[in-house]
Amino acid sequence: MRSLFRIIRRYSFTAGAIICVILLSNMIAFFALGYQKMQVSRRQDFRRSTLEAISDALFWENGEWKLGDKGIQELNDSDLQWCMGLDNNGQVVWEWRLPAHFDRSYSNAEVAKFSRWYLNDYPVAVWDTGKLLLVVGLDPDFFARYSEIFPLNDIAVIPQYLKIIFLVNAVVILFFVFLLGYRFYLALKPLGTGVEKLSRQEPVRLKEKGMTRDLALQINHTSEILQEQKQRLNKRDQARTEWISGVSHDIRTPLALIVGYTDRLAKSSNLTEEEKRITDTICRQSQLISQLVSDLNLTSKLAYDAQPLHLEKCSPALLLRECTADLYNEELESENGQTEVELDISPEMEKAVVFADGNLVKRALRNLIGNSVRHNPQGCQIRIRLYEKDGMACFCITDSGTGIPQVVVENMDTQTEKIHIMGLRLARQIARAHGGNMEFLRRETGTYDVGIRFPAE
Amino acid sequence: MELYERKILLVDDNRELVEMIADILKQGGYKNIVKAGSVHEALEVFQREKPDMAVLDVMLPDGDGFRLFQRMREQSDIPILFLSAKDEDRDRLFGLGLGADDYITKPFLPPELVLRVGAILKRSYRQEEPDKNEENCLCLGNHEILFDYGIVRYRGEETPFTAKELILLKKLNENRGRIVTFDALCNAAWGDGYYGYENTLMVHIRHLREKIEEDPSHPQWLLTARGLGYRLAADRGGRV
Repeated sequence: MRSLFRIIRRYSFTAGAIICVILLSNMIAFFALGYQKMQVSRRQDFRRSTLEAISDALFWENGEWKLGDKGIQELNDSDLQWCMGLDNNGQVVWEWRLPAHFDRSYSNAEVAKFSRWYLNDYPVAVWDTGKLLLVVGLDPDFFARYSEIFPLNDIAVIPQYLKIIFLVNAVVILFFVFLLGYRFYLALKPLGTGVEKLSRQEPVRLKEKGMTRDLALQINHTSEILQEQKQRLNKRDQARTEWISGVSHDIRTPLALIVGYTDRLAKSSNLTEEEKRITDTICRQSQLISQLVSDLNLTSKLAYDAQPLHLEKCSPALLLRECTADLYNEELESENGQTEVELDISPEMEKAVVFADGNLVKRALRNLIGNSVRHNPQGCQIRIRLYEKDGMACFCITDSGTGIPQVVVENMDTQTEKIHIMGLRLARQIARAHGGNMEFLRRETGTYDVGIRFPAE
Repeated sequence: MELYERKILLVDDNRELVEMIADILKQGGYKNIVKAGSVHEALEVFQREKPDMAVLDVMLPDGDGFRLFQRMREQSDIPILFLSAKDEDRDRLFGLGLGADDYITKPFLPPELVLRVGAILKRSYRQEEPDKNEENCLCLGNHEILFDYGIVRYRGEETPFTAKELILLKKLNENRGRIVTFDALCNAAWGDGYYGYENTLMVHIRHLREKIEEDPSHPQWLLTARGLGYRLAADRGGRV
């Protein structure tokens, strides 16, 4: 959901930035255009340069006003339509291209009127040369004349108005940006939740409407497919687990008969040495089958999560002692006492606690120690070291016997028909289910010892 | 009634297995055995024979052993042991949770079954017959331990045990022949959170040895399992 919020935030910023950029570019364009216009109009500035030039070129000669060549040249070059000079009495004393129908005499009132307005539809400009009032007519097709009076107050508040307008605009823009952003967020929120659920493999059912309709449709569809697949997988896993569980169950009763009767045979006194050896072997191997069957069962359950871990605080030292004591107790019963197990538990481990399924940890240890016992029928010294390393409770199992052969270590991850490494695999599986692991430690002889670790509290 | 005369009901749908268990128990000294192959038959036999103990399979052709257990418990408080091919913790815990006295998974070692049946019978019927002080008396060589009185008798001389010593000895005796870990002993004597009591435990064991061993520095009965715990040696006479 945080990622969704990030999207919305970015969207709002982007929208705001776009608006700002457009406003700014408009302003730049406006000023650029204005500046250019000013440059152009400066070039055609008849008012000052032309009028000044004409005014300078006018002179009094032989009782009449005349324009010098320079002035005439200037007039011809300009866009002026006509030109006239009025004396103090309003009489036209000099003229240039003045249309014939124009009056040649103007009253004060008429002068006042056209000086601010039009004269016979010509926009007019006036210039006081000092002796004459120079009046020029501009091209009505190009120029407009406008004259207005503003109260000073109105002009003074313009900057303030501009500020307020800008502020109001900004508020309106921000409001809409956030409103739209929020609506966008609301529309996307269910989709975000849906995708999140999808990643957790939970079923998703979104409303298929609004602007996100197509997306919702696709997410719903994906969810359906995922659920279907999950169900099918679960069903298959369950079937497999149940099948293995059933087989291991069914095998136990016949095994119980074999173990029971062989035990009785082995105890009967009238057996030859050879027969006794045979019955002992049958007994041992039946126990092994029983162990394999239950390993297989547990392995399949752990693999398909059919066996929930009963996690609780347990002491690794206690588990190790219990497991070893059990082994001794059973070994004593089967009268095979040449194997000795020595425990080396570090003092801090006596107090340590692991959060684990105690029975499974014992099962893993049992498998590893059991391997040492089984593969050294002549008997051996087994040493189990329990110590803490990197927040893990580590059990290191070494023995004075043959050790674990290279071929077993190499085949831990490959599918082979070497079913006798199932015990090791199960131990590793148990360790991994707890967030721990199992490792092999190479001896100088080329065979291996094994270590298994569980995360400590 | 002598322990070995107690009537034991065996219920399993596999006839051969029932026969074998009966054989094993008979070899173990139990003479009075009745059998059944289904829930229906078991209830019938149960009503008729009034057994003192029952060994039940969990999977039966006409129902499950847990149900049968409950039906039996409604009528009688006899000790019941489950003998099942289901090895899952869940089933074992369920069975024990119902109040079963023990739960053994197939395949089992015959001596183990005999031992467990014996232990359950002893536990269940000892209180009924307190006058039979044989049950509460333990002979270790020439030392005679009377649990009810908390004393040991040796050559006519009586020495009392302390409370802790008695608890430890009882715990060891319950698991006679088997190693009992430090943890289990400390837990029995001091309850949970016993860490640090191991040295105290050693002191108690030393005192115990002084009371029950001929030569405390070379113990014959209370044996040390190095690094693990202690073990009360099984009687050489064969009976455990």
